[in-house]
Amino acid sequence: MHSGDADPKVVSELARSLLALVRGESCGECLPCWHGIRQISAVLDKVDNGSPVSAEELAAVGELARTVGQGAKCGVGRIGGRLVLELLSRYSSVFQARV
Amino acid sequence: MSTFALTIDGQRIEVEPGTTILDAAAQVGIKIPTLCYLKDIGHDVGACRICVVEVEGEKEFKTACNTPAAAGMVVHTNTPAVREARRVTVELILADHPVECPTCVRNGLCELQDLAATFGLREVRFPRTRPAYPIDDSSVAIIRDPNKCILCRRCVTVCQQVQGVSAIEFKKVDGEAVVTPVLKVPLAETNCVNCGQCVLVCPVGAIYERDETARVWAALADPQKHVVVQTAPATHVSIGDAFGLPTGTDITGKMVAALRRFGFDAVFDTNFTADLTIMEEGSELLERINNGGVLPQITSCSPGWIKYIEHFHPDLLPHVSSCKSPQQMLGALAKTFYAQRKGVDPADVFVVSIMPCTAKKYEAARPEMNDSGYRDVDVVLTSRELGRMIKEAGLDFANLPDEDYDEPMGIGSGAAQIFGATGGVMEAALRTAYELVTGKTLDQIDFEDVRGLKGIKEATVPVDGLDVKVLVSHGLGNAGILMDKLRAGELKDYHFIEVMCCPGGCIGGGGQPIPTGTLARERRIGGTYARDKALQYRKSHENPQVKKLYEEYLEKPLGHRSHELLHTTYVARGWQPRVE
Amino acid sequence: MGRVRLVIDRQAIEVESGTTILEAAARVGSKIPTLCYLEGINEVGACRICVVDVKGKKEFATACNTPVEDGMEVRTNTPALRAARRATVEMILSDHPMECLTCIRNGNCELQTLASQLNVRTVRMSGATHADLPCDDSTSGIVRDPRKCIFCQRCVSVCSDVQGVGAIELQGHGFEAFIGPPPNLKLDETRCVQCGQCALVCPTGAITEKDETDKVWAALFDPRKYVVVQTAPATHVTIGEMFGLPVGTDITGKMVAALRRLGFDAVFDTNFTADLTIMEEGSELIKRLTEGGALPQLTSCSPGWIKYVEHFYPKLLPHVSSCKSPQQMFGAIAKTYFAEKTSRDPASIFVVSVMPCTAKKFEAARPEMDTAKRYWNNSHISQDVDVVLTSRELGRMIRRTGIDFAVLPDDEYDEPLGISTGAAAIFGATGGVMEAALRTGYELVTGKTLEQIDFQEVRGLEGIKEAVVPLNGVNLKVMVAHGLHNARHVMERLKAGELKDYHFIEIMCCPGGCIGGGGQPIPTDTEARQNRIEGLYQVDAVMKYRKSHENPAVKTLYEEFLGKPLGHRSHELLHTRYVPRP
Repeated sequence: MHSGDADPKVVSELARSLLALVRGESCGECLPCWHGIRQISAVLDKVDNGSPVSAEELAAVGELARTVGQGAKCGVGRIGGRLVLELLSRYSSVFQARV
Repeated sequence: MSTFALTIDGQRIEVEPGTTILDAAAQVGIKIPTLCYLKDIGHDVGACRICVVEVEGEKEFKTACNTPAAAGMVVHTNTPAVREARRVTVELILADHPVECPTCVRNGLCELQDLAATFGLREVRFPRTRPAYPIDDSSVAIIRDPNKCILCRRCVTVCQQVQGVSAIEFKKVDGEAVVTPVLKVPLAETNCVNCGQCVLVCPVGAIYERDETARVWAALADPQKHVVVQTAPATHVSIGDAFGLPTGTDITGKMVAALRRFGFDAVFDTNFTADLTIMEEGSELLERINNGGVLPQITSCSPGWIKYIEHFHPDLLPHVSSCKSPQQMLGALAKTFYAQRKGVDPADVFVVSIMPCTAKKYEAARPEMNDSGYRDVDVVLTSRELGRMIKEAGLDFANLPDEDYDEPMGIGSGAAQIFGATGGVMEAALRTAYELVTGKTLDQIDFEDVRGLKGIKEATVPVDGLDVKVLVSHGLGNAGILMDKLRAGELKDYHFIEVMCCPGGCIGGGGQPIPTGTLARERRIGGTYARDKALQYRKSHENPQVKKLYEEYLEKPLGHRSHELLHTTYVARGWQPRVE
Repeated sequence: MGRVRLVIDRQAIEVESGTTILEAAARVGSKIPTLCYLEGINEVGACRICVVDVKGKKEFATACNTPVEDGMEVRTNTPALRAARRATVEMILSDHPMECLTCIRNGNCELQTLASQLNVRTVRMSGATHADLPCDDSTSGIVRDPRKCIFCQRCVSVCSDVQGVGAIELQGHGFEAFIGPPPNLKLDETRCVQCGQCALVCPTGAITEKDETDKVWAALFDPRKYVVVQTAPATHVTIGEMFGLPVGTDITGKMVAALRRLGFDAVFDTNFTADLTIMEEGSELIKRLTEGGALPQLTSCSPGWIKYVEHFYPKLLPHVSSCKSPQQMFGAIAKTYFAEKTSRDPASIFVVSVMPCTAKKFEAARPEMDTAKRYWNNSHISQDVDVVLTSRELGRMIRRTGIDFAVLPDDEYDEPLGISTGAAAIFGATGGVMEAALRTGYELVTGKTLEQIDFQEVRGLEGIKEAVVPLNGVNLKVMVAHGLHNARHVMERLKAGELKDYHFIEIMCCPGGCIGGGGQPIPTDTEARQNRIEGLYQVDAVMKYRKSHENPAVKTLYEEFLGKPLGHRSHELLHTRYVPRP
């Protein structure tokens, strides 16, 4: 899927379902993953259901994703964080459109 | 082993193999921030991810607390990426932490509060995501507020690994990661022995002692009540911590002065009944040896240990001395012997204990502890609670003039003082038993073999032709090892075993000032033996007030009155919560 | 004075009449808790935390301002008192934002400590009336967050009584009352000199310095920037306090080591330009004495003092030396001489100052402080000093990095702007600039070596000090004042023409001089000031050079670049002008 013609619905649905997977697997043993994935999900849920998202919130999601992606204890959190980062950069126009 | 070199923030450093990045950095003056890590209990699970660092060539951050340094490693501890990760992690923790610092019991002594100040966060952008939990105040001693828990899991490590109790666990419940009593029952319904080691290691205010200072203030203000107080041996070298004095300082005289300023009608010393315990417990041991009783005899002064054996090894209860702990002996005497002598109605005597211990709150509440006809000890305050009372009263503790305890229960020997340190009860018992049995004066009264922080210690002492074999353990994990051996019949030729619930003995008790780590334990043990050396009497049987008590009231050790007031029974509790 | 006998908490005590109950109780070991009380400055009994029970009196007395009486029987710790104190704290907390973990004063907040001390475990009331008040960050130096104000009025007392500025007052009545500048005015629109004494005495986080550490972090990790730092004389003996070292400890070497570890490309010392200031200001004085000019000459290194004269005595501005402060001289020299000498693009040089002072933030932002821009005629060059950090902000940066400050090995400043003398070191204490000027002035004028270089008359915490120094037949009359209330006394006499025979007057804005500056570690009280002053004189005593004109790097600077004191380049780079303000 090319980023230019991405269907926003599909992108946010993709992000949300990936995150739901990670959230289910997150064990709570390391804090950035446990807390961070929830906070990211909360913002992405807003994107998904069409609520407005502030630029600050979106920036915070980036910071969270970097922190979890690099700092989590195991692959679950790291993959979750990196997926979000990847989506944010590849489909930035989709996310920016919600701001 | 040969050392190797690595580079941390541009500084080259040689370290031993096995050194963590955290320790290596500390050697070049860099304190990498940590939160969940606690060296003293070997807790290095890397849960909080605050100590992350960048290692060149590695894709992911490494946690400094549990990553060994390697030859040629190039570590950066303060890059923008690392700073961002740490800041975001702290922010995430703060988002789920109730901000009620001024009214939190750990205000000013909270590791999260320190960390927040260190990171200089000025805003938390995220909402709380965790559900609200009820506070578990089922236990008479320990209260858990899961809302403040940051999931560091230190308490779980200390409960499972150090104490071998496993009353609490870390698990996912209904999709939420939580630290909870096993099987989700209230804490009071578990095997929890109320030792309070979890309180000592909790970085925040999620686990704390039940605060009973208000009851004591009320009693002090009640003109009807005759309020007496007793101070445990370990408190003599610990209370100063809360007032900026060096850890281990002997503050006995100042503590007495402070208590008197509060308006206690009499200030007594648990050291007095520690000496009495030696008389009773030593006599019990001799009787067991001479009359073929159950051996080895095991000490009974540590209430966490008593509850532990009642739960985990009830079959071994006959080994335990029937002596009450010094706290309960003093309570019983205060409402009988002292009340009578003073001419006050025992119903009006209110006994407060200052203890290094949360389990003492449980002990005082045991239904059998009413041999005086009333509840023997009315309120138990931990060292921390007394510290708070002194602060609230505004006493300039460090500059108070020294004062003496009151008659007739205010003298304690050096042998009683060392009750507070692991091995101390054993040493005190040996000092007295030797002289009582042999009739000779003991020349070398310092039994170095039973001192120190080694988990299990042994000694053999020749007493009148008999080689008395003794064992000393502290920390329930070590007690568990001994009990398994005892059950297996491996300890048949031992005579006496001292068991203390808390690591280091009472000076490391769960009611002691925070922080209580290995360093604090060592210093308080140092202070304990220094006080022992400086005291006029160093053997329990030389205590003139104890002699007088026997002359005037108890008659003789193990006599009728002793049995009535100073000895007790135990309950075989078995495993809780019961798994049906 | 007579003696009074009384009983406090069952302890009999005899004290001088006039003693307060608070002081008398302290002598028997009862430290009555206080909140608004500030010895000698604020004894208004506003907070009611220090209430005590006096036998025979119906109402509780406030211990901080009730004098003892003969035969008094005082109880400081009854159930009713404890309940009253706890209720008061609860009330304050009910209108205080619960933001401890993100508050700048977390861990150093008197309200936080008091709540713990009084065992306050619940807040049963709600009734926030100040929760919506906006934060005032209009000034460069100071931020006011009125939501966190607890109405102790310490800031009002210090601003009007100690500093004589009166920028903030209790405004309005009842529930609508607040403390701040007059309604509809921002702090920047008042005569606030940004001395920061209010931030030092505020028990909570309601008045703080403006935190600019983020700007410094960003510069440090910007590869295009060459980040240099200068450290003010007074910081040499104060940074250690934030790391558990005794107050007044000389931590110069550790501070240099810490700054280098933070990643500064060059670590320099404001003491260097303090020596330079003496050369310029001393020469200016000699010029005024010999060629005529407004006398007495007034010092100009204290930016709070400068703003004060501009507001309150604009007509007397000609008396003020035209010399820039050492901080600003440094910024100008760093972006001209140093850039040239090391062949660096002056636009890439980022100058950070570590100052004991909040007013320095204002000074650095003054529009005229852009000498380097004008010197190079390059609009890409920023202000001479890019960011001013207070001592407290540096402490926070070090803490955040995890540098174990107390055990750091001592490090040396970089050359050439890191070399200084004992005369520069004492700039941080009241009387220090005067003493430094006398050491150099004497030798330059007489050509003889000064034997006794310690001028004891101008040292110490007395508000206004005087000395007469024989100098080649002239008796040089000098005066020293610190704290703006004392400055006002001097200025009123000057205005009245009573100081015609004086030659030189040193004025420092803050009590005690810069070691008591508004950017210093909290607490900064009289005892801390004394210990820090002692620390500075100890630093001076062991220095290799103790007179500014002996500083070899300053000599080289004149030889290589400036020419001579008051020369053309000096005028362009090191001197400034002032603006009368309403």
